[in-house]
Amino acid sequence: MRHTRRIGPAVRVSAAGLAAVLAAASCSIGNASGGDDDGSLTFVSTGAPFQDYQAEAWQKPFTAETGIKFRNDGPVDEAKMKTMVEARKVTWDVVDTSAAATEQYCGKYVEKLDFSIVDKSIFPPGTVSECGVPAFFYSTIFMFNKQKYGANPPTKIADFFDVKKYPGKRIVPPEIAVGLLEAALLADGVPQDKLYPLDLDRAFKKLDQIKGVTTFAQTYGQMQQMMVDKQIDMGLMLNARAYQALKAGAPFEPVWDKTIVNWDDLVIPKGSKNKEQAMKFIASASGEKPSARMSELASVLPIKESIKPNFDQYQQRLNAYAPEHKDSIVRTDAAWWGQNFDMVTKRYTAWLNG
Amino acid sequence: MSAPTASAPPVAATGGAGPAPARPRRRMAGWFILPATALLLVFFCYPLAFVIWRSFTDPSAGLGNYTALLHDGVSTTVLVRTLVTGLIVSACTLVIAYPYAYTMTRVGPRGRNLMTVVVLLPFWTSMMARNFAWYMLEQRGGLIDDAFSAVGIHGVVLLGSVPGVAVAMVQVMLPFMVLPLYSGMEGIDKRLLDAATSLGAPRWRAFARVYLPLSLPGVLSGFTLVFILTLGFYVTPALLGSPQESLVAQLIATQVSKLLDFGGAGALGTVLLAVTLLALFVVSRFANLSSTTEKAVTND
Repeated sequence: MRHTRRIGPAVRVSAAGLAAVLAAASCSIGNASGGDDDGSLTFVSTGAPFQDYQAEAWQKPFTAETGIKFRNDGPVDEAKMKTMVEARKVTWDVVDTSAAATEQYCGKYVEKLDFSIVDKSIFPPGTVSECGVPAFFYSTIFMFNKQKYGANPPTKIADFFDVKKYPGKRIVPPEIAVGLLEAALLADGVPQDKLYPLDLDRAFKKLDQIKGVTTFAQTYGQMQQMMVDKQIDMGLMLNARAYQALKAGAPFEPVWDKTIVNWDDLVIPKGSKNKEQAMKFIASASGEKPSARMSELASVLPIKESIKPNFDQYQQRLNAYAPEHKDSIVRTDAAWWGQNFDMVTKRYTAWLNG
Repeated sequence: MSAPTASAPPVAATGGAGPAPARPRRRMAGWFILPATALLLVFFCYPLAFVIWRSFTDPSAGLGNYTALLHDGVSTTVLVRTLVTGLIVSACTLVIAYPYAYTMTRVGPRGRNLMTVVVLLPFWTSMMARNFAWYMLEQRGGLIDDAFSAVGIHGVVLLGSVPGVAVAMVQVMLPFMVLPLYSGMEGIDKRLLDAATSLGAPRWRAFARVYLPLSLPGVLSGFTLVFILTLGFYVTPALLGSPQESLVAQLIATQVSKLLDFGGAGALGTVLLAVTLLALFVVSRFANLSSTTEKAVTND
């Protein structure tokens, strides 16, 4: 019995300590959203340098106009957003996320937009959802090492999947929803307007042809680095990363047969305390000037083709919105991806490890 | 909670039987572990319990997440791959570390200090720096590829493969093997070997019959430590591996950050934990066995 007396106070004290720690923790979590006090917006994106460009192009003019300041946070982590929403401790106000994620989490973890604040008529048809409007577009471009293929360069998206005619190492993006399956189906002869719903069996069968010679990138940084270090001979590159690689001297050329165009949305996590201001910010960021500036800084595409950013020579080489490349554009179906993202991701993971 | 109560009877027995002056000191000892206990409860036990609970309840109550692991066509493959990789890494680490630790017991104090520093050096280097160094070495046209090409073997690109991950993990894990081995070997009485040889055993037999069994406890603890650390390794596979040959930590990351499937990820994590505990249990049985051998040998 003596031990119970001895352990008793220890347990009581530790319980008290535990309670104190928990209370302190919950206080600090509660206070994290205390940014509301000064009315500033917490903006969440992928980090430097991309987020710096967003601050420059979007946040600065908005702060100048309204006096509302920004707190920048990152990286974008949908799991974290889900946790915040479930715990009702939402500390994020505006999040840069893929259009597919917007569709998928609309109403669940993401607020619906008030279209009296955000003008949805300015965006290309089929790109607006209840919870998000495009913040910028980007393209997934088939690029090849011109030193490797010299006199006989690939010219069609089908060549990416033809390892006999065009041997060499390939690289594809770390995210499945940015165009790999679309590229496979287009290469296999599926007409552009019959792409969705994606024929997954056919797409994976096509992908089987390149699986052995393809690096399935883990990060976009890896893609850029492998392009610069000539670790790969061709790839489905995101234009912003390809731009950095070209600038660093990577001897790569785009193939303008088919280019998959995706976009990111700015969304408001459900339960944000600054919903109104956040929507005003989204409206402001989709102005022509901020959009053009963002495109120039970050080498992305503006929210509509009529906006003409002042691109430098490398950006011009990768500009899918240039008049001569217009026919190559294939816009993804964010609504389809929103509905099928989990299923496709599971299947893709299984296929990769199979 | 339940832990103090469970350990209570022996404490009571010794406390009751022990002399009175010992008591205050023990009471102090109880207080000393409070911060660690509180920390563990708040930041380990509670989240862990939550993860396990969620794996049985999210999205619906039952074993759904666990049966899904069997049928999704990935999880079992990846689990087996992770276990095999863990075994290979542990075995390779052991082969490299054993002679090293043995030498540490044979050199003078200055040499021993130097060897300890060399082993610990990787600890003082950033994890990321070490992994990126391997990245450079293993990539196409990297040092390893070039070296093999020079002798006529082309295309040895370890980057993005399980062997590439394993090589880097062996290097990262070496200190975890060398130190337990060394502390085990240090306690072995060298005169036993001399005794064996003086009784006519060749050196190799003296080693195999006397030294090796005596060093087994160190081998087991080093092996277990490395194996368990390898099972949950994330950074090295994420940097040097590839999604085609992912290990279990990468799969869990996909489930959490891409699928937001906290229940499924929890189930996979729970299975990994169960496997780890099972490994520990099996090893502890062996450890008992080896300590009895040790006794037997020492009694000889």
